[in-house]
Amino acid sequence: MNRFRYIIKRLLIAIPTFLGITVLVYLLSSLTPSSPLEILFNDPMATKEQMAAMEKALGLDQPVYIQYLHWLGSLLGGNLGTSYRTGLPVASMIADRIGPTLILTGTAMAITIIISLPLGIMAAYKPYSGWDYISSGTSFVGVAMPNFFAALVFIYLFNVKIGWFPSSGMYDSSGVRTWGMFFHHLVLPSSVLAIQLIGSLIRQCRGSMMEVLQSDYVRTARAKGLLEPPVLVRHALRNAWIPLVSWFGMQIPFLIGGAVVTEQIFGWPGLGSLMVQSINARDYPAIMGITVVIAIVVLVGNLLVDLMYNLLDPRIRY
Amino acid sequence: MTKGAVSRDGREIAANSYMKDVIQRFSKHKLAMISLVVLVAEVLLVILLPMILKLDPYTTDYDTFFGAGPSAAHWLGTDDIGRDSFARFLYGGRVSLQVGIISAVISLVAGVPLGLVAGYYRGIIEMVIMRLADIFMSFPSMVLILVLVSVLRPSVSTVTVVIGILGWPRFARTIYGNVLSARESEYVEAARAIGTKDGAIMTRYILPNTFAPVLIAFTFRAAQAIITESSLSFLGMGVQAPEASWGNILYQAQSISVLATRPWLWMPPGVALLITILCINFLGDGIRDALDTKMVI
Repeated sequence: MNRFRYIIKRLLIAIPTFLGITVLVYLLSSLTPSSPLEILFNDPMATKEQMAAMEKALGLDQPVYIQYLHWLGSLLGGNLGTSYRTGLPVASMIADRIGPTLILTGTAMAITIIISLPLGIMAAYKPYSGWDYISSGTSFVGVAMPNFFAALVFIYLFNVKIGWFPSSGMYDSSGVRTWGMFFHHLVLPSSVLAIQLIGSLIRQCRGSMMEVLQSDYVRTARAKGLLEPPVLVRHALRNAWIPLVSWFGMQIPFLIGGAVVTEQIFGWPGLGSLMVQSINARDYPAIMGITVVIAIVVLVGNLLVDLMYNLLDPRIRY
Repeated sequence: MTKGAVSRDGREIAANSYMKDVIQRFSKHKLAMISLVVLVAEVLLVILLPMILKLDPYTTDYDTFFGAGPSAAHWLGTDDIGRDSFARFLYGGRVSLQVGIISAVISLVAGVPLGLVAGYYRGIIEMVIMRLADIFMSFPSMVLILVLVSVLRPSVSTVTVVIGILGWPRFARTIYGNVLSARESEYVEAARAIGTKDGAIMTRYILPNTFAPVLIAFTFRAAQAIITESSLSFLGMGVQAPEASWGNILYQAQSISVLATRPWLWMPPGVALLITILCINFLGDGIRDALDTKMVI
């Protein structure tokens, strides 16, 4: 019951945040130098009367806040408008692109966890050992490595030089689409996206494991003669998880920001590359739609992280 | 009168020895010291070298091939329209470092007063400001920056201002946390008791105590800003040609033929970016450890 009330409370907090983002996005796009009218009604022969009629039909003669409410209303009804660039409904464009982005970011997260946890735990277990220096070095370089430079280096090494992995798209141009081909194309972009996260997770993991390893219950576990692996996994890691989960939540915005750059370089057909294409084309309905969808993804992600926090740490009371 | 002089003297002595202590601790931090030297050298190089070698990053050299390889005249070759790549590399460094530092200053100037006011007055002001900070921090700033830059026109100054303004929440949060504890302290209570005005309490008593965390936040923010600017320029939405920045030099390497055949064009700015960020991060760590007098190095 308590947990249920907490979820409701969290949802209620998320609503004003969401509205805040929609207001911000709407204000930004209404600052654009060229009005939608000029873009949609690109006819030099049009008379003043025709322009005015069109303006009225589009609702552009209304005050800004009325226009905003109209937009918000249709947004909540699932209508994100029509793209200036492609003429397709923005909602269906986004629906096509969101899957690849979730797969890319999810894979990057998985790679991050698989690499960082062992390195971080080993570093904390034997501080100032060879392991610790390797993992600290990796984490410093990982954190400092700009995403796009990592992408260029990876493409240069693994595509241009040794030709192991393709550097662009989700499938090759043969028209055949297999899972094997898909994963083959996923390797480079997801590894690149993982690099910065790996650096940051190693640091976080080392820090929180160090703290836990000095705790009384770990000493007790050792004192009663448990072997080291169960002590590390069952006693230490289970407690070290808690700060790691909040790290998870804080990475969501970085993950999405990174996906924008990474998708663009690797021609990965996700939300990020759609965002860049829309911005290049000044396609404001698409830009606004994508931004709103990203906001929803972030809010849902944060909510899930909070719930996980609650499941992992029964001490948290609301 | 005498009492005041003595206490002022006392404070000066204390401040002096504290600073000495901090500098001593910092100089023991090897990585931070090396980083400081590298960063200073880098700044001097990008400022002085173009003047000494009389480099020109904007003019096409018609005497060589466009996209030529390294030679005595052009150390890093020329780009697609025959401009000297080495000159563009150095000028690009100027722009990248400048955007990083100035936008971090803007973030600081925007964030510090907000955090100060939120922590000092609490109540509704606190709620509004800190909730806004939460919203900004939970949303991918890269996406917001892209939208903003597309609405305004991308240029060095727009990019600097946009990255700067969107960096305020980190400073507001840092300050806010410190103000919350400082406002309950005895010296603030004493200041209030003798009738000091709120503004004076905030600027004279609370603000100086937040110097250390703000300085640390500043270094990390500058590193972040340099990465953001270069990512934007790399996407073609930051610094625009003919102006150079490390990010927009790398933009050319989006073409697979440049990437594959002319590594001397894109490797140097990329490596320079990596080294710069690495050094700023080490510097930040060093400052943090030096200012935290409880920690033993």
